Amino acid sequence: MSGARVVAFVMAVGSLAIVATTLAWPGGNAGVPGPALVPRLLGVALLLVALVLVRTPGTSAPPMVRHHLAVPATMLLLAVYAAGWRVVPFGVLTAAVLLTFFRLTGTRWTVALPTAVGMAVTLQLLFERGLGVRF
Amino acid sequence: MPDPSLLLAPLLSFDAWLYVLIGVGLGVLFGSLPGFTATMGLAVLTPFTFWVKADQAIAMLLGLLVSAIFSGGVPAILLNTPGTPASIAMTWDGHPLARQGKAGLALGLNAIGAFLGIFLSLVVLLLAALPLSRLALRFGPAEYFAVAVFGLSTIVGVSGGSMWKGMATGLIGLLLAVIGLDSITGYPRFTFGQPELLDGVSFIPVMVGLFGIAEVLTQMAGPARQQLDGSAQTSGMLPTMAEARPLWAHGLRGSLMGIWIGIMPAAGADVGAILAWDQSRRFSKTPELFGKGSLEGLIAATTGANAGIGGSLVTTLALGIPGDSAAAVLIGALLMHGLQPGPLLFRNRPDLVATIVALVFMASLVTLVWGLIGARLLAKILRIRDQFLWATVLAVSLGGSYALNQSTGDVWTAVAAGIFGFALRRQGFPMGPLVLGLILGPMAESNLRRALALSEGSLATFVTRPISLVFLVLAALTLLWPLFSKSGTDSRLPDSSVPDADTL
Repeated sequence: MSGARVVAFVMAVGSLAIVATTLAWPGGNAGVPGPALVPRLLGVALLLVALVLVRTPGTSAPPMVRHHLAVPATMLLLAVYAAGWRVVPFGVLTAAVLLTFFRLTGTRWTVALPTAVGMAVTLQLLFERGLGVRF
Repeated sequence: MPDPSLLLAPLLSFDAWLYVLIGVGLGVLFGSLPGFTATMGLAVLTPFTFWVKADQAIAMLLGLLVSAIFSGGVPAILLNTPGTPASIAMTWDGHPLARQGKAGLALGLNAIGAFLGIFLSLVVLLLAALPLSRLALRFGPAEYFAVAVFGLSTIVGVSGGSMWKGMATGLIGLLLAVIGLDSITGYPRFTFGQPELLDGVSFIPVMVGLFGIAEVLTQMAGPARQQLDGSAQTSGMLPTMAEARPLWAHGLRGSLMGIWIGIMPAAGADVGAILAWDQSRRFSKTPELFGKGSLEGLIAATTGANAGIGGSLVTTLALGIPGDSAAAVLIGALLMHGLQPGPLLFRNRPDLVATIVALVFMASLVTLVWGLIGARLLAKILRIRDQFLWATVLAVSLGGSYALNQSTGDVWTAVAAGIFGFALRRQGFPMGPLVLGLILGPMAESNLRRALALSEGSLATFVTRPISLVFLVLAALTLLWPLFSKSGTDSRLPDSSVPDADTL
């Protein structure tokens, strides 16, 4: 099954879940729609569109020609970054994440380390001193 | 129309130029950084203006607004990452131009288009503000719903060859927009007991994820961008006469579209730019170039986005109704200085209206100069290695998402939207329709339900009111246009030719 067809199938299942969820919501009265109307209509519309796409999914994903391992690793790294946001000091966390990212994408240690630290310091100054953001 | 001498006074004031310059400088920062917006910049700056005079504060805020909308186009062109929502449409043709080695020309057109759009919108503001605002005052829920439907109908235009995929992502955007407390009944929808979701999905982190993070991941997976590493790209910022001649009509049409959308409350520069681009494509003799680096598409998007500033000011100043979120913050700033925007402003304080018009003009002039001179320096961003650009976009995007509400929930939203956007883009699903749905969804739903409540459930209300009918007919024409357009079957273009997985 092609990737686009898988996405369409997931959309179809998701839209069914949306419609099912809205069945318990107030539907409105005397012709005046309640909060369920629009999401339910949208869910049904998405289901129909998803079914069309399951049948004719069109073009699928082109092959990854570089960094094919670094892409999922970067996704994981971003999740770690978000999870550590208020746990680790912003500057330290940013420097560590940037250093890891540079190494993942093939940058030499001698360039990656000073760049990661420099960028982290700059960003911390920009946000904390310049914009008053508290981390 | 205000006394011309009132318009001249700020132009001759050193103070006014100084504060406009400060605002423009800050606007460049907020506009250029993905994840930061003009609205955020205005919100951050407004408290600081408490310590200066009202006209100085207005000068700074307007300078920031004008330059931020312009500056958002710079990363859109160079990095395919819109600096502000208003510059989403600039990625569609601006970035392909940069990839073709014409970054300088794209940046130059962005600057010229910004000035042209703002200038024309100010002419409209001066000459027709009152009649137009009187018309907008007659809008009811049925008209607003029809406007939203018209905006949503452009999904066909921004979907490329994958109309069904575009419709799917448009519906996902509309569904994301219903998350949170129902604006009419207060009923929680798809919140799953999470208090963070009661206010709905934050638009900016979603946009940062879809256009910043997903873009980085897509670039990482795609071929290297040798074509972005050309030193010749910083030259030739002005179009030749042959290039410029067909652009005037598109610039004018884009400006008019931007002004009109700006005048209508709740539809801002982002919608104006998208609609201007879409309409320009329909009228173009070379629609096949749109999304591939069309100068016409870029000038339409740029003028559409920037003309919205003047259009938005019409309703903001004449009615006290914000044309968009940035205008809402602007109204708050005016109130903080004891100035009440509304119908009485044009009658009681013509000097203030004239000052605002002059200040916007000054800001656009400074921005034009900066755009033509400073953009040469910005174009050098293209010479930086991919890894450094990606790292900068990722770190600033997540930092900017957090800075909005200082909420880690927004960081997670941006990360999730980035991964979601990457997965969909890989399979050829365009992201433009999703953003359209997210922007226009609340406007469409709330006004649909209000209109039906007022008409006691009768759908006839949408076709018996002339303004509503006009917009619905326009929407129908937009949807049906592919069936009647030239080039044989329809105007839908190959997947790679219009904003799609590659350019959105």
